Amino acid sequence: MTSKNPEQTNDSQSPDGMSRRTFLDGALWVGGIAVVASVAYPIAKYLVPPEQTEPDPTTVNVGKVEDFAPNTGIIFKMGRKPGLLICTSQKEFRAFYATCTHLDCTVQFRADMGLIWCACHNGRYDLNGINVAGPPPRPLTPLRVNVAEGQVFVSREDA
Amino acid sequence: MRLSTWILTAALLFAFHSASAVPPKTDSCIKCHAGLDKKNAAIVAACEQDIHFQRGLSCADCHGGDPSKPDEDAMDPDLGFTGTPKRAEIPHFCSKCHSNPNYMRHFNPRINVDQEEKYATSHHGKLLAKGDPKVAMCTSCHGVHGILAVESTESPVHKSNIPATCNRCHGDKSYMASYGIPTNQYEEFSQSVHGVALLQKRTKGAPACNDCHGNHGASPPGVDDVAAVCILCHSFNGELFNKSPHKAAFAKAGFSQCAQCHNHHKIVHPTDEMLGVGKGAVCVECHAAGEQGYIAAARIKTLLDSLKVEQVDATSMLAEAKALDMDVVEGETAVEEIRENLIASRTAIHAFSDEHMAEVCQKGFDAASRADSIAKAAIFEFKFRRVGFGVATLILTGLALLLWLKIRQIEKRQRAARSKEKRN
Amino acid sequence: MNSQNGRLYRWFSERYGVTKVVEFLRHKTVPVHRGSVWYYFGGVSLFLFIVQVLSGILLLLYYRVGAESSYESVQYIITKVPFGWLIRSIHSWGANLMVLAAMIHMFSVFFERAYVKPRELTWVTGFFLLALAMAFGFSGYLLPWNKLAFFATKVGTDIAGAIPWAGDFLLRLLRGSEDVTGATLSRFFGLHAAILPALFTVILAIHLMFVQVQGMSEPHLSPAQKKPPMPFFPNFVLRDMLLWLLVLNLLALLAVFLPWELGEKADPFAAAPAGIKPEWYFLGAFQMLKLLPAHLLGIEGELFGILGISLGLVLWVLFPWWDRWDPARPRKLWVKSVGILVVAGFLTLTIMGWVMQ
Repeated sequence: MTSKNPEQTNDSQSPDGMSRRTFLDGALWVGGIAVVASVAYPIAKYLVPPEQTEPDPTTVNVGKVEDFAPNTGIIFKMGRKPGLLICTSQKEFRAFYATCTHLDCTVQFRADMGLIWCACHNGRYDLNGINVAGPPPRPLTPLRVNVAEGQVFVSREDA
Repeated sequence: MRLSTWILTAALLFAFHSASAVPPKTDSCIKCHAGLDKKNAAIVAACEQDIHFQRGLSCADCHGGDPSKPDEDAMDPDLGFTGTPKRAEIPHFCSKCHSNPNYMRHFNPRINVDQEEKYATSHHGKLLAKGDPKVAMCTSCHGVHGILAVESTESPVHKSNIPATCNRCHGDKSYMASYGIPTNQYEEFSQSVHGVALLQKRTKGAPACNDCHGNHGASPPGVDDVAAVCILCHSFNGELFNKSPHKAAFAKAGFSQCAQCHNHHKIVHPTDEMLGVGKGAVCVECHAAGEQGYIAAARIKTLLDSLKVEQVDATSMLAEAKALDMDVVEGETAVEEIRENLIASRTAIHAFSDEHMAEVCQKGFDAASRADSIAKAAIFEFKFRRVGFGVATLILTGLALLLWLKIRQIEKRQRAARSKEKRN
Repeated sequence: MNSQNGRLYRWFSERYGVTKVVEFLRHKTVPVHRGSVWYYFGGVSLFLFIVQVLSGILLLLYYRVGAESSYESVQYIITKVPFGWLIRSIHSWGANLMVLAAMIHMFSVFFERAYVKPRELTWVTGFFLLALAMAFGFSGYLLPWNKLAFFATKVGTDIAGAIPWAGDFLLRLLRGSEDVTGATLSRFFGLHAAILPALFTVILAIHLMFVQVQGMSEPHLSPAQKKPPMPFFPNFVLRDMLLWLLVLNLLALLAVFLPWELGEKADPFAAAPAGIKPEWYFLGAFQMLKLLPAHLLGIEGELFGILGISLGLVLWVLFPWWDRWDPARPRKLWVKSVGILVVAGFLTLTIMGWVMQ
């Protein structure tokens, strides 16, 4: 429609217009890059996986079988709650949510008692997680234990 | 409901068991005594709900005689009739059956048969043996005719009724006058944490008098035995106490372990004010300023107090972050950990070691700083989002503005070019 | 186009017909008139579709479909993944704005009567694009597996079950099982992330091709009323970009200040919460079905409603064949009335649905 470079006729007459134009073009470049950057930054950040790599896992690898001595117990993270894995004297694995059913304290395995014990009010559970003494009103919530390729996996029972 | 079913089953079993051996009784005791006078009629009526009657026993099983005889022949001493036992004879009267495991097994294989033996060792039993007629024996607590099963809430020896039953004698000033012991135990107990739990909240696990004093072998626990009694339930506290420097020191001073700080019958829920060197603190009753124990007490209290402050701070900080709609579930877990640690710390006091206390509290302090940093991160994130939005808006709208200027510039040029073309 | 003589440009133009495209773009113009502003809504819909594709792909990196993982993974995205909250909120808000922009686009085309010969198929493809966008919305709504979405999907798919004979079959086909379960979730995910994008892209390409081939529709104005057209490049493109930037800014605003809520996890055994309502663009139809009496003209009210809506949509998509261009009558009152009636009916029902819960 119009001639190829209409600006030439215009700008040659006004050096002012010329400098305004270069300034505007420069600003557009800067603005364009800034927009690209402000879109790319969140995306780049998003692509980097966070430290906790899985949402609320249903299965947790607690460690190698040989790392557990008989008659010991460890607390591990089952998602957002603490879990208790017990290796019985028969080298049998059992796991529970380690939350005491009395006042939600974290229970522990006591090798000397052969029991699961809550330090808060001396609540006691047997190794099946059944409340046997003290204030706990209910058994502990059990977790499922699977051993595969020498690793101990604990999963939620509903999973 | 369950109890009655149980009794019924037991009664049926017993009936079945004894059906072949015992012919159906015609009970002349009941026949005669029911019409004798008011007193006797009441006795007979009371027996109807008596546990012994419900299990198939009758008057003669305790009092002897032969109820199949229709008249006063039934009460022939030659037939074993004993009549009303004397007060001092009652323990042995009951133990004829209750100390006989072979006999008791038929009713309940798990029932204890050592009541008389224990009673003999009790304070009551010893005084009774010395001829004191005022002390409690079987019927003082269990009742006479119309004895109910211990499980019945109507029974005077049902757990929730025991304090009142003991109080019948022990709260009677004139009755107890000759013994020179206090009579305010019930009053104190009912205000105590145990009494409130048992009498008001009806907590099944709360202790009654007999849980500390024993029942048939009732006796005040000796100074050294107090901890042994309390430890039955408060095991961790007791364990720590036994390992603590107070164990030996209290023994030396003749203090009664737990009760020294927590009282005997009026054991109220302990407060943090009992600790330390401030007003209401029990530590300063023995420890003078400048002493090692005084310093430790002050430090233990400071640890506990600062943990509580940290808990409040972390909680309010998290609440602030939560009010901004930020996800702070992990912070809440940490706050939960502080709460847990506070419970553990209050138990840890009983090691009476500031070092031990510091060690235990450390977990709580760690959790507090974690909760704090989670909350702060969330609040920062909230602000960051808004600032980020501000920056992005500046950039996006800024570029839009520049584009608008550019469009205007281009179109101005286009118009100029067009009008020039026209002129040409 | 400064680099017309650049090496890279030459490399391509020697191999592909780049020059032709550039020439086409250079000479492409956009009509200028009273209603020019409505042209932008097609572009805004396109931009929002691009935003949806990009944010959707990003969400796929962390989203894990499944009754036991969908909710958790979305929660993970909005709490743990850096800027995950932003991507997710933009995706949710973008979906709504896209349907809105497409609707405005459609009604502006209707009122300008831009669908008349030769653009009948542009109208039809556009209609299907809007329908697909709504299907995107319906299937995507369930994917976080939260309580509201669960029950909205239950109610929404129930409607399909009201269709005679085929109802039960359709219900099973939609849900993947008798009820809304994890199977439904998988199905909706496949629909949302694979089937619909493929369909949408093809139809969108056809739609855009039609527009390019035929140029933009111009209202039939007398020569005196005509204004000179605007060059597509750079005038129109720059305006488009300006608007897109503002839309992007609006999305960011909504995402930051009104983050899309996740709510509670779906529990198939829980009682339905109060105030279940579908997304706003289904609200009108939903409300209409609710308003109908139980029985109408001897059939079930719900069925009557479904048949009515279906018939209406068929009439609507075939509108270019009801309203043919007649140079003698550039304006037709009945067309305008139909348009106003449809818009007013839709708005009334939607607002009623919003208010009456």
